[in-house]
Amino acid sequence: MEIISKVSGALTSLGASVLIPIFIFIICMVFGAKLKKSLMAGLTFGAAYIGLNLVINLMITTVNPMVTALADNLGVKKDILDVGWAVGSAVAYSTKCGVLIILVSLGVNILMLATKTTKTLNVDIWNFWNHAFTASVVYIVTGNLIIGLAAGAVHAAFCLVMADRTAERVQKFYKIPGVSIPQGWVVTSIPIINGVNWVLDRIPIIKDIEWDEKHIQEKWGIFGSPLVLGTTLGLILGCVAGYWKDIPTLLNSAISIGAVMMIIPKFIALFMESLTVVSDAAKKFMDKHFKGREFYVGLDSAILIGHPVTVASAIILIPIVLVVAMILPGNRVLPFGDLASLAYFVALVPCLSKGNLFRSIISGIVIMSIVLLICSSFGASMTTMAVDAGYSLPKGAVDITALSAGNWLTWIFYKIAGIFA
Amino acid sequence: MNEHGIPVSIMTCSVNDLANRLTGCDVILSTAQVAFDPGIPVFDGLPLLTGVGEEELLEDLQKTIQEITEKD
Repeated sequence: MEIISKVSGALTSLGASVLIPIFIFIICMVFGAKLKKSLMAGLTFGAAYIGLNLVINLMITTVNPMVTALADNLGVKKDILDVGWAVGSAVAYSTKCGVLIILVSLGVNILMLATKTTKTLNVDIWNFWNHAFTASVVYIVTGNLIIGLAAGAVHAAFCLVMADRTAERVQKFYKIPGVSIPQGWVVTSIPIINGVNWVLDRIPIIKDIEWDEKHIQEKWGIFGSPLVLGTTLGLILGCVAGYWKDIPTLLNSAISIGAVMMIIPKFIALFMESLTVVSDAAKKFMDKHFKGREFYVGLDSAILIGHPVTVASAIILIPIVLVVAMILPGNRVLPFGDLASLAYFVALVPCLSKGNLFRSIISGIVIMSIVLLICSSFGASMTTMAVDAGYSLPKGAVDITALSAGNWLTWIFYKIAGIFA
Repeated sequence: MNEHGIPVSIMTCSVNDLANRLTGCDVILSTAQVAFDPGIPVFDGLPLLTGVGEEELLEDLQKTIQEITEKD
């Protein structure tokens, strides 16, 4: 136990930007990828990681004074800032548990494939950050690396099982043969959506409401651009926080935030380039060693978000989520970074609700309320992770979280760990 | 496309942003459903992720791009 902790401590002192590339290189080589490709995959990951951190710093230093001003001027006390999944994932991967999670989750997957307890090969490696977050949160509470990693492993297994269970429905609805969706957050939305549908089905009149989503994309589609959304949010937040008295600062902050929202996906694309090498190698490995077995390719819910109902819901939910955040009792989170990504939170709703826009929005409201309360409950956890990982957050900064980390599975582990710690 | 000597430049964006970024594009290759009519050919990019049907996709893509290039 001591030895593991010491070794892991020594490894993590290298930092995630050195350590994860090394792991990526090793995993690629183990799966049989060529040396040059494996090297490039590792290096690209490291570079993308460092680049992403630059942008994260920009976001936090720009938004932090706004949030403080918001509290001072309006008494709106939201002391946890949602920084979005991109930042959240970078933080989750940087912790002691996080750097090891790719190995752990892939290990669990291979084990489950070998024992025929799953049919899914999860090549959506970036989204292992959800498992990393679970592991890290449990590690913070218990101080025990092994227990943390075990929690992450269980999360990974849960994802695979849920992916298998929804595979046929998803494949049929979205016309994507051979695919399943083991994404670490989305699998937890399945019971919530089913619950909402169950309730709505029992209310006369309401159970038959259907809305038309065609016009939403035309009129409001411009908010699908992260740059526009970010700049607009910056302007609104700035004005509400009192910056209208200081126009230069208002405008500068607005475009800084727009820039951050636009730049982050560019770096994420670099991560994807690196991880594609891993997933390609993993697929070839599967073909070679598990020949003839039928398996699903586990992909990110990103492939589902083009559905017109999801697109329309994602846009409509932006102002709704902001209002909910303000009035929901017990909520400490200011939605921000993940407002651009609301589509992911309702990605499976059309499939489970027969493509109904009204149901998507209602499910969205229920889902986001639960997410906000869960993230409020996590409190300073992500901040602690970030600080431990060596991020320098400005003094007196708000705590951070990511709405994408707000899943009840992680929360249950967090609470159980709290009882035993 | 390099193999066939066809010069292409690639612009990436998320599917939500697609309607705003179409200027100068001739073909769309998407891994998610495109919910509106963009007026240019759309290809389903899923085969590139799953490996299933990858070759047919690339062939179709190459043929379409070639046709577009010849029209100019």
